[in-house]
Amino acid sequence: MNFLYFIGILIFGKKLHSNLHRKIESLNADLAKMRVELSSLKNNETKSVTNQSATIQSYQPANQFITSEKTDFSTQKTSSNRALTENISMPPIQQYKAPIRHPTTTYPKREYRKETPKKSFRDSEFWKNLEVQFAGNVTGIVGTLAVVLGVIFLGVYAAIQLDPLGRFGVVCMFSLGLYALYFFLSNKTFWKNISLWVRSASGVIFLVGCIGSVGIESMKWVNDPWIGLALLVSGLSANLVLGFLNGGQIFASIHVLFSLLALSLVPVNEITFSIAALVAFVGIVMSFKDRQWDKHLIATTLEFTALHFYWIYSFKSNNQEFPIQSIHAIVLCLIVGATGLISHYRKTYSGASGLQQIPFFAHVITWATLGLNLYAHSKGSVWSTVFLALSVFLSFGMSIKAERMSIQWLYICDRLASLLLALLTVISLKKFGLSGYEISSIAAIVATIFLRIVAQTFEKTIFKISNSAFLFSYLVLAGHTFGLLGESEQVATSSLFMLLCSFLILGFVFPYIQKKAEENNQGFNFTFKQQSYPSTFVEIPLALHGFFALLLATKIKDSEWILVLPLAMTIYNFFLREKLKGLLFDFSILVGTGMTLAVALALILGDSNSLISDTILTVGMLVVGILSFKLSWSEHFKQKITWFGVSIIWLVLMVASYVFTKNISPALTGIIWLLISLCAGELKDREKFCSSNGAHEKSDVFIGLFGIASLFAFLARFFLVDISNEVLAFGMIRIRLFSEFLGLGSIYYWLSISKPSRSVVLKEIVDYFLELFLVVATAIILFEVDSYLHPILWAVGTFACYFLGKKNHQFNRLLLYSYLFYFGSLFYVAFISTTIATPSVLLLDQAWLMGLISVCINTAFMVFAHRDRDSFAKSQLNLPKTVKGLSGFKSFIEKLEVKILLYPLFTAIGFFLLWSFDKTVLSLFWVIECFVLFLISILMREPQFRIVSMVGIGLIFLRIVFYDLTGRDFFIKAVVFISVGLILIAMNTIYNKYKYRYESKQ
Amino acid sequence: MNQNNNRTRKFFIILLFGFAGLSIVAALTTIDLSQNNGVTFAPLFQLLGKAPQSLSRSVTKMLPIDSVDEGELGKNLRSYDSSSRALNTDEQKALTYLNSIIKRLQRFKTKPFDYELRLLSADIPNAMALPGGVIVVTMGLLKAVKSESELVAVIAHEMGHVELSHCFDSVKYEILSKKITHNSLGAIADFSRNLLIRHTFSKTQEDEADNYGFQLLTNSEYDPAAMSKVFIRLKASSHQTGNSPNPLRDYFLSHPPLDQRIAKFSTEAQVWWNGRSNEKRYIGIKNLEEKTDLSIKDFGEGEWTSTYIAP
Repeated sequence: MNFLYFIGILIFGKKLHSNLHRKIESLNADLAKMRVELSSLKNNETKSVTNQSATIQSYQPANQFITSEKTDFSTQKTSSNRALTENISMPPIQQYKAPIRHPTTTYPKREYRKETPKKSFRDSEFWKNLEVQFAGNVTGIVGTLAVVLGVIFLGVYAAIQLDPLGRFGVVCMFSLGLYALYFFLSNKTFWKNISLWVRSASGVIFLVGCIGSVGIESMKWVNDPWIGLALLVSGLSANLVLGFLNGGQIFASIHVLFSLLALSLVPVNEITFSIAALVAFVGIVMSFKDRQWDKHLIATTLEFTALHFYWIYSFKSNNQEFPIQSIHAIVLCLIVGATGLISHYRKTYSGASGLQQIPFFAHVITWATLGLNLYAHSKGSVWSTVFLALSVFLSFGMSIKAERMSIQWLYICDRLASLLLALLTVISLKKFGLSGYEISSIAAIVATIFLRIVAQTFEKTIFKISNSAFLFSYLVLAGHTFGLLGESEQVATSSLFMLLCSFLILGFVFPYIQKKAEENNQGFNFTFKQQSYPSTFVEIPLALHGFFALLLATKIKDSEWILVLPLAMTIYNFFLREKLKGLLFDFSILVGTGMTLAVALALILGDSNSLISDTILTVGMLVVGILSFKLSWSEHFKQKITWFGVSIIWLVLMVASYVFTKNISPALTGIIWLLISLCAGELKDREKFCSSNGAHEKSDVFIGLFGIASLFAFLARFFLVDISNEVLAFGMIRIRLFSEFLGLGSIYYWLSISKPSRSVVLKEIVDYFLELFLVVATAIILFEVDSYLHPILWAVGTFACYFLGKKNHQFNRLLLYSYLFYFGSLFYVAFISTTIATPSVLLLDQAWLMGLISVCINTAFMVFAHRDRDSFAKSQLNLPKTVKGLSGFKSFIEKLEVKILLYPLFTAIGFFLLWSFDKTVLSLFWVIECFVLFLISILMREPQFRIVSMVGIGLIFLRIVFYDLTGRDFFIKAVVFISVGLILIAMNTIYNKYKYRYESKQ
Repeated sequence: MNQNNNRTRKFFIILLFGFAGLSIVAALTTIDLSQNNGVTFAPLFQLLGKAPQSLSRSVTKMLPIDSVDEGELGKNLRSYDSSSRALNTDEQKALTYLNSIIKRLQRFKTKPFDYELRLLSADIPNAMALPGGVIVVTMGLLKAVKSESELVAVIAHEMGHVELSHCFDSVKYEILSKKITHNSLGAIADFSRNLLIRHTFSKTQEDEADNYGFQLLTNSEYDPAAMSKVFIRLKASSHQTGNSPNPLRDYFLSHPPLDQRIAKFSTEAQVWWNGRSNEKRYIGIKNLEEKTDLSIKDFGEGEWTSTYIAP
């Protein structure tokens, strides 16, 4: 079978040879024809010059063309092209024609007369490059491969026909034959390039023979290891030497590739691996001197790595340990990798500006393969960390060297490699028992330090990558922190310590980094209010340290004092911000401190904390608030941002007062909140915080707003919590009464005692405090006082509002509210009082009595208000914006004068009498009511009242006739009738006596 | 003038801060952690419920019906209840006992009809008032309360509902429609009203009834502290929970939270007892056990108290 293959190959080879031969002959014939044409062309030119000398003299350029053609045939094409352009402007030359022209040749048929020749695809750069690559490289590679394949086939044949030694001899002879062919071809210019490939093939074939003699079963004839080693080394050496001698990186790569491939065929042991490393080493060293063989470097390092991993894999798949001792293998990998890396530190690379892609990637790949090779031998030894750490310094040192050699891309690459190695070193610390959190903290620290170092020289690319790595490391740290919070176990104190370290380092280096970034106008850009700001974003992790530290501290139960650390971090940030003004820092501080505050408040409010920790958090956050207030200058807004500090202080005070008092007395919280409100009211008026002092812009407004917010917080708490507090203070007074009075006092304080604020918002809020006071007071009365007493209180309220409204112009809208109280009181008397039942026989407990007293007070108010009507009409009511509509109500009251007071009163009294007393005496009471109205009509000279009273009496009379007469109790009937009769008589008398008063009025 | 204003201002500020200081001192004297002052919307709804309740009352007042009509409805209810089922001996005894109590309490009534107690053989401790002076008490309540004074507190509370026209208010349209012979229309109107707006002031009505009951106790021979004790018993049997703030739950609560009622009436009783060193009030544990009314038998000194006994 193999023989048939061999015959097939021979036939194929013969056919190929005959084809090639025919082709060469055809090319030679063409060449001969061209030579003939050229010589005839030369003769014609001479004739033409002799016969038409005058014409030719005037067309000298054409002469030059001919001369050029004559002098250098090899550059014929170029010269012809030049002539093409020149002939365009030379019509006489067009007449020139070669007298001897072979009809089959294509040369004379060239289109010289084309005026605008089109550039074909074949003339494009792409096509030319393709041609160069194909003709220059691919053919060589494919050709060599073909030869190698042929040798393999030959080997197969030899394997069949000969013994191993004989086979080796055939291979060697074939190799020598090829080498001899090289000598033969190398002297011929046309075949020079091919000869190099032939020589390469001879080397590879020899190598195959050597490898086969040692390790391939059918070719193996050497059993002595030393002879085998010598043979292998000689094969590899020959191969590599030839690769080196050929002088191109493609040759070198191919030879290294075949050398390593060959080594993959032999049994693996320490020696063969060492040889493989040596081959790779030599392969890399080939590129030294002035060569820039980066592609070769990439190929070699990748090949070596692939071989390395192939061996590891093949052993692992057989459940065998890799036979090479780790240290040995590591050293070899280090040698290969280091050689690859060092190969770039040569003068040939220096001076290049910008990033050179191929060398850069070659270097990166070398670093990566070195890392991978070493990682493959990592057994978790602590020494790996040491080596990694050493490599950090080494790579960093190398980057300095690259910088000095002005190899920018190498400098970038080594700097980044050192960063990566540093991070890997940190990750390897896990072997020392460090937790994931501690490792990420150290990584963040390392990234910070690296950023600081990078900032020193400030290379844009490295800085941006380092900055990104820095931010990423902090993102990981943040993720770890949240991860720790989810765990049930408590966190080690060392974690917080690590965070503190990272904060300190970051705080220390941040000013420098920021300064450098600003100087170089680098970093990331963010836009605020359509303005772009360059920033490193280092501010964000810096500002968030306090927050994360506090989160961690919540999981550390060793000591409460640990809480001081996060607070100190937060405080330090404010000092740092004073030093470094930056818009992003301003925002970061706001966010970071805000988050810290949120956590602190949640902790204070939580039940799991001790008193000490609550105290530490409260005091700490108060200090944060004070500092935030004092150190709040914003360069961008050109003012102090005081609202944040005020908010912190207020929130902490409010929460702390709740937490610290809730276990003492629930009522205490509300009282303290009111005290905060009062203190804020007094503080806002202090000169230091007033708007006239530009340093604390609007701080008085914020203090005022939070003072009011405290008051509203109290009110909310009061109605949701304190109102149901039934505890007695001093054994007799409900404690909530203190809160109620103090609350009303505080509202009054803001309404009247506190100095008016310059803030419009504050002013508008306070404007409604009068209404708030009335609402709260009414609610308290409704809740605290027994309902049967309410009518008296509403009636008293009517008077109180009227007098206060008269006395104080600022609150003169109370005059209107007095009317509302008046009507409310009457409604209550008419409809509500009469439904109130008290299980008591005591007169003072009776609802009707209270109703009666209320009626009396309301009557007094009616008289008083009527007498004071002019004063009321003149008053300009001071109404807040949204209740301006009440002025219409005032006009309505003015218009109706006393009627609006009197009719509701008498109607209410009528109902009150109806539902409060026995119906048998009702007629008597109603008559009395009408009689009183009648008297009033005389006193006030109001005929309308008189008419109403008369009509009323008439109706009552009808009731007496149709209802009271049907009653069974004669005594009652008698009393009613007599009384009514007497009243009517009295009315008649009085009317007659005083009727002139009506007339005079009319 | 300005100087005067400043003086007034300073005086008021000093007064306010002084009062704040006094309030703090007062609060510090009230370290009573037994009172759980959680957030509850119930008192607020109770307060807000006064407005719709007043409106409802006014409407009732304007209708051409009164307590006499309510008494007529009560008569019908009594006749219906009497025909329902026969009572056993214990129940009969208990009913007699209850009616003897209500007979004594009727001296406080203002309605023009008599009260009558009915017994329901349910184990749940409960009581309810019907229009026209019918009060229904369950056997479970008789087992839950520990003294006659506590039982009186419950009956007084239910009397309060009748006296304060809460029952009348809830059936006013039915009463009215009976007058104009359109029964079903009135019932529908009442049902709709109770369904839609009753819960807005039901807590207010319950609070009023509580107050009425407490006042009745103070004006009777019984210990006013019985009111809070009853609520403690009810709380023990109802297992009422829910200290977390929940506006919706608090809005739909028919009664104020028991904790709040206990705290309120404990304090009320304490205040009442504070100024009455010579007063003596009856508890009546044995009376309840033997189902014998105080008017029939006074069980002696052991049943009387002259001080406030905390529940």
